[in-house]
Amino acid sequence: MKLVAFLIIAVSMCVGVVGALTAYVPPLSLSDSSLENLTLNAPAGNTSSDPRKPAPIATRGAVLTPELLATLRAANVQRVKVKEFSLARWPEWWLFVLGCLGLGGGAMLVRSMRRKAVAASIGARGGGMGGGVMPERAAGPAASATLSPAQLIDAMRADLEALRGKLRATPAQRDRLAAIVADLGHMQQTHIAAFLNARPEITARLGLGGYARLMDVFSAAERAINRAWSAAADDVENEAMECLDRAAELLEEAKGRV
Amino acid sequence: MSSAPPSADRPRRATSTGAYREATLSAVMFGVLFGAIMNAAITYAGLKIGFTIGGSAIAAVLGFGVLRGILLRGSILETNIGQTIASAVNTTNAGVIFTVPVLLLLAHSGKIEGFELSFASRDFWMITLACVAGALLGCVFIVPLRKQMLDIDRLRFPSAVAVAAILKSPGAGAAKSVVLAIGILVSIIIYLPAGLPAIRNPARLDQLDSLLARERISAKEAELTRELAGWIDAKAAPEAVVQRGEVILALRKLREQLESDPDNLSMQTAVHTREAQLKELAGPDAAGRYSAQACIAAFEASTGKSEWDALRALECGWAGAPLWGYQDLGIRLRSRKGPDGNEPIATDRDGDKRPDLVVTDEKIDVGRIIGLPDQMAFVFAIAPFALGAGYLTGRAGLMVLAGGILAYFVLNPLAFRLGYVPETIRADQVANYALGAFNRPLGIGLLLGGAMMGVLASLPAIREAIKSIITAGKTGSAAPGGAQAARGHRDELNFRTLLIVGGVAMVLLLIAAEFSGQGGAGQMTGWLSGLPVWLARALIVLIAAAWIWFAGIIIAQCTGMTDWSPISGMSLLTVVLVMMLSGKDDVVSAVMLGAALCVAISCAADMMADLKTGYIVGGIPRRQQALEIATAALGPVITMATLVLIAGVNMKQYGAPIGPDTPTAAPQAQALEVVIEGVKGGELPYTLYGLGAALGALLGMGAFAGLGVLVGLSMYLPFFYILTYGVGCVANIVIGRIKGRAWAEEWGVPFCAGLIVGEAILALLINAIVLLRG
Repeated sequence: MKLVAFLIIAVSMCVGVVGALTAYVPPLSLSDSSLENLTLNAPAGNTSSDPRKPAPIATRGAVLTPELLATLRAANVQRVKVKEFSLARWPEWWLFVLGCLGLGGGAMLVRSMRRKAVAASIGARGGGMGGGVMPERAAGPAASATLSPAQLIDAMRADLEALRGKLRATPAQRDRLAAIVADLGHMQQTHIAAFLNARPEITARLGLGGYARLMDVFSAAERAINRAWSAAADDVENEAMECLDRAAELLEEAKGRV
Repeated sequence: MSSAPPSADRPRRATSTGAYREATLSAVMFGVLFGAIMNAAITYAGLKIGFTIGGSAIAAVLGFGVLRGILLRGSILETNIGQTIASAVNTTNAGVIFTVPVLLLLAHSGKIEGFELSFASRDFWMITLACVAGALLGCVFIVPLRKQMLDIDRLRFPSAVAVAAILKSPGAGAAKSVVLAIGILVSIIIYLPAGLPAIRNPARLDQLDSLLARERISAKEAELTRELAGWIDAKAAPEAVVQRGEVILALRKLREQLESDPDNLSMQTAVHTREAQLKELAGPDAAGRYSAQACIAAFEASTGKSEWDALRALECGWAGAPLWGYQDLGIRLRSRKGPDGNEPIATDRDGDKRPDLVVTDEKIDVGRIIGLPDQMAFVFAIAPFALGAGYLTGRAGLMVLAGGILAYFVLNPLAFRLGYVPETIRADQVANYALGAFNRPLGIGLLLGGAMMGVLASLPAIREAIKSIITAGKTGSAAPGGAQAARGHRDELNFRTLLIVGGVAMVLLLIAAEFSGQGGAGQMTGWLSGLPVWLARALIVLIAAAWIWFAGIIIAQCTGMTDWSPISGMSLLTVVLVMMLSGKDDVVSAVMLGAALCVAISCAADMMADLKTGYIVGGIPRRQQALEIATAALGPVITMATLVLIAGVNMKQYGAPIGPDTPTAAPQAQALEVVIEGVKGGELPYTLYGLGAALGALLGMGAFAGLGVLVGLSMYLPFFYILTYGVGCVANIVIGRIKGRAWAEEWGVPFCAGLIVGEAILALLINAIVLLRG
């Protein structure tokens, strides 16, 4: 079904563009009165048989006169490119309209499918944003992908808490900084990446406004985590610790919003 | 780049418990100095070759060298601030050199009157003022959208990711630094034979046949070189050439004198007489086919003022022998000579009686190698940058590839088949013809419609983002909620600051519009002709500002999704818009506002990319925003000053400020000149823009709001870049499938960051060599 929807969009796009292409290229089958006095915006016709040395019947800038039109028609020229546009000289307008209708229809189909897919994904997890019991600590990106947004935030909070505990128990500063770099690097690849992939689900539940409010806080937390990583990589421990505290607070707030 | 290395992997630095270095004086000074140098160098190179290069990646690499290597104290965030400022100061040059030089071309050819670009002229200061206003507006307008674009929509910004990968490399472990270095090396190896031929030396006579055989020079160039060599040997040149050289020099002298005494009537008459004489001598069958520099050199040599050997210069038309490039491999199609001994057009399109080259310095024509129909241009650009950007964009970039395939493999051949292209266009010329005739207009329309739909779809997010900033301004915290407010941290610049800077910029723009071109005294002949001039000007500035805001969003979205930005297309639309509003004769105002817009949107895209880098490394947005606003205004001043200096030197040496008769041909300005002439002649296909916009808006209603922008971009860009970019996107997906997504990110990102940086560094080096050699 998804493929059908995208096919409709692609075909409609082609049809619409083909229709649009003819806007400035009226057919010479139109009457003289509708073509007269128009200015050519590209050469028309070709009397040369040598493809390397074309010889147009009329050059760009020439004004269409009844005589020129007759010459072009006699040379079996089907269309000319002109500077002026008029709906009356655009017989293929219906192709453009058809393309637009197809694009609109395809868009609605895609949207409805997306809604159904999100609903199915939420349903598969038993409804809601998946708060409550937090599963065991996810080991990698694949495991993180199975968690709900709320569970992911819980997992991040738990990981941060575990990291802080680990730091308290590590005597050497060098090892503490290395632990920050390692654990935050892991979190960036697993939980954070999985949370960002859950956008359709969160948007379906909270609306775009609610998603924006959530991401406002979540992104601040992510930046704090990123800053902690950089500070640890630069061996500035106090900044790294401050950022970890800030990230924990912001994740707490994000949990409230999800 | 995010996974962690073992602790032993990375070198240790002195442990600090002090404040984390971020916005420091050394970072600011490095950024301003390096940005200014890059700006001037790239302005010259851009005028010469027609395109510019971004500076963020190079600044990031050099930032490490200077701040960490030399000063021994730079942190990741300090280097980030350095590259933010350097790119802010540098980025504006594209906006100026794509637009302002057209005024020099038009003034020199007498198509506009009274325009002058010197440090003493009002026009110089007004255009500079407008560009400064544009830089400020670009920054101010885009700041409130940071949350929506980066926090909420998570736009990818491939180059920004690459810069972040460089910044994080010291902490990411030795293995990733090695991968980054390998990426840079691979990029340099691939790009070297593509870039080197930009460096050319005057050819030896015995090289001419070989250069001709390798299609490095045309038969005409070889003939001219031999002719010049004949003059050198004979120590004599045709009388008409010598005479023309004399007239050019005399005219220059007269013009210089007229500058100091502009009301001198006899001097004016003398100038007119000399100009007429020059026109007569420059006829197609006379000395006009030799460059002004050749004529001057011939005159000076014949009067003993210089040596005849001076004619052996590229500026005189002497053939250039480029350094070795891919084209010298001489990979051609297999010969298919007919019974008459001639190559058919299928293998010899240029008619030089040899099979065509399929590998040139910049492209590989795979379509011809595998025998695709002529109207399907299956050509790949040799551009590691595009490959890296495609990989970093990933799956979203496939939409660009799909749009390109749709345009170049379906629509163009269909248009050819249905007879929508002139009969004089051959099948193999369709792609080129279609790009200008309908792909670009429809592409720009799609971009506009797609971006409009993107803005509409994101309205709730934009509203929340702006509300958050306003709340932060009142409470002292950008993030709503007590936690951050209590700490008093402010992430974003507050709204009041943005309003003040925006207001000042609008006033500057109004002043520039009022005192340039037709100024207050001129009569409006466009759509606003019925209004009092001051009111019409104010309206034009307001409309231009609104357009700058919208175009900034389009460019930031394009850069964010793909790394490409249709700046020249947007500036073209601005020039058209202003010419419609104020009248087709008000070219100076139109180009000036076009320049302001171009500068604004470059700044907007650069600011958003820098903020993305800052996001990844954990920078505080407010600091980046404040410093970027404070320093971006320097960029236009440096570019305009460089432009005036180049134009002045050119005028003295070549008798033209810019253009084909000088070493700075300004190809983009020549293209804009054609557009301006087109607007005046009513040749622009406005309806196609509108139809494209409708299709773009409808596309954006479907899968995601940015689809119209992506497809529009794919129709706007030449296909060979899209294909190389597409290879990168596909590689990302394939590697992700085979090795897993985490592996593809962990190792692919530093490698591709290296590809982007390597090409940028090499391009800058080659530009510098071209610049130094004059």
